[in-house]
Amino acid sequence: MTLDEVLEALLFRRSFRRRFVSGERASLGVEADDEADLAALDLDELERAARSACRGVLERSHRGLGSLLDTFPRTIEAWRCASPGRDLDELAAELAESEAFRPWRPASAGDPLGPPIEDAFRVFCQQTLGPEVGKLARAECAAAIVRALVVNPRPSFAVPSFLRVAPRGHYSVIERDGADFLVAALGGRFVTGGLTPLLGAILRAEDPSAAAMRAGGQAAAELRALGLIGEVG
Amino acid sequence: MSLAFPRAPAQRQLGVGLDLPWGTGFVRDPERGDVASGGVVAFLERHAGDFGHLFVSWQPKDRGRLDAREYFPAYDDLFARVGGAYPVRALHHTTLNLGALEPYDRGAILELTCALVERYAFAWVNEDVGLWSIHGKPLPYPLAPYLTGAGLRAAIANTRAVQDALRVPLLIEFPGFSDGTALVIGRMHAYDFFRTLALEAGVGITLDTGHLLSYQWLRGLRGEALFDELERLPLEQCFEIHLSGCELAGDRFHDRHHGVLLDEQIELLRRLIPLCPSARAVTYEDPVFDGSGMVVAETRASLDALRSEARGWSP
Repeated sequence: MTLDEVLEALLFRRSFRRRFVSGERASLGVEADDEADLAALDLDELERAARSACRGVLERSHRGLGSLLDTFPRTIEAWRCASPGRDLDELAAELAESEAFRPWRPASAGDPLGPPIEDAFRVFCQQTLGPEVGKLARAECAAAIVRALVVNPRPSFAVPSFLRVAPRGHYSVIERDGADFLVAALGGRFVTGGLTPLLGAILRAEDPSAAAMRAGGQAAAELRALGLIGEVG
Repeated sequence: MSLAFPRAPAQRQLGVGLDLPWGTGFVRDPERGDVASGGVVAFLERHAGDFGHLFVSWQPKDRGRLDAREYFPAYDDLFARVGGAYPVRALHHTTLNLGALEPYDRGAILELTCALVERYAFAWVNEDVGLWSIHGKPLPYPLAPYLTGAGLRAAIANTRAVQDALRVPLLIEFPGFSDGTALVIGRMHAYDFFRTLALEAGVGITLDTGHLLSYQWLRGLRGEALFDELERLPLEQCFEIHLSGCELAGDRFHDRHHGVLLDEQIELLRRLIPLCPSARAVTYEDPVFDGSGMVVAETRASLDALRSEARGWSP
């Protein structure tokens, strides 16, 4: 490992940090030449800096959305219920350690194709907290991403593939109170609302425009007027 | 050595530096769009007689792709309202990541920076030499650079590359070592690292009094010893001196940016002034003020102390 890789791991990977603090070096991949340079590290200060860096991931606020704590309130509540006695530092450390976190890059890092932090958090929740919490996280993630797309129609992150592309923007059909619910960024506006089972089925279809055509009548006209589907044929 | 200092200010003066976060420093007006907040404008108007120059800290506005045009409305508004009183302006950067060892793509941010420099006539750009992100992952506070041979070579190369891309001088700032950011990797003395970097890269420098004190504090020095070893710094290359609020809590040194200066910072300023013949910009960084632009009571004494110091500077 290069020194920068070591520092990144020390800050964001708790398991790596613990092994480092216990004295491991070569087994972690630390080069022998770097050991003396790393000897100057104050381990208490390292712990504080790592905690701050990981908490920053949870608390970093995005314009128009807020932080993960703001955008995933129900998911985080579910995590609290599933994790009695553990605080947000624990959640931050687990997230930062996860595979889901690795590809994340923030807006200003010159990587326009990385996933947004909301999607990294969604994947993390799905992988670690089970399908029910994963479903909740996906719904909150979808709402957050479409709001982000309203604020930034040209985002510096890759739009998650579970968001559907529409003629006038992006949308997702999520479940709310047992029914289909639309969250969408359409023509620069944040559009939300309950869906009838028919509209939900159309928008979930592999080809929504064709499905709307088959359904015919008012349904297709409504979705077309919103910019959710296009003309067929 | 050929060293390009900023053209202005021509004489030593007191100025002010403001971090302008989106949402508080810059705000969204439903009718006018992005504008400077009323408090910021009121503060700058109220203190135009105290400060001869102004720097603003660049913060990413949102998660849109970097595009200078997205920043123009807010900056246009700020300088339309107070620019007449602050003809000497600078940009404090937060994304150049001069201490990075790993490859770091600065193309888009430099393009944006050049556009801002040209539009607002910023006289210089400055940034702390440090790690503002690592492998793209942001850090809440910049960490010190790697005080190693490889770290020094990388910082020199990064600094030269950034300076080459800018049409105004880049001033590199001695990094902070305060509580929470004092991760020291490497065995070089930070003053020696910084001197070699400034000499090799051929750029001017900014000395932040809190950052210097925090380094010596971290090394265990106290009292008069905090002012030791200044001769190890590239003092001839110093153009700017920063003073931002710091606090000692127990045995910890905090860089609070809360406007309240330690007596040691004023004392260090007094000692640096005669040692830095080219230091022309002395900048009070992040004073705290209320919505009407009045500095809060806790900050008043620090502002008065700086005014008093400034009166003693010979032209």
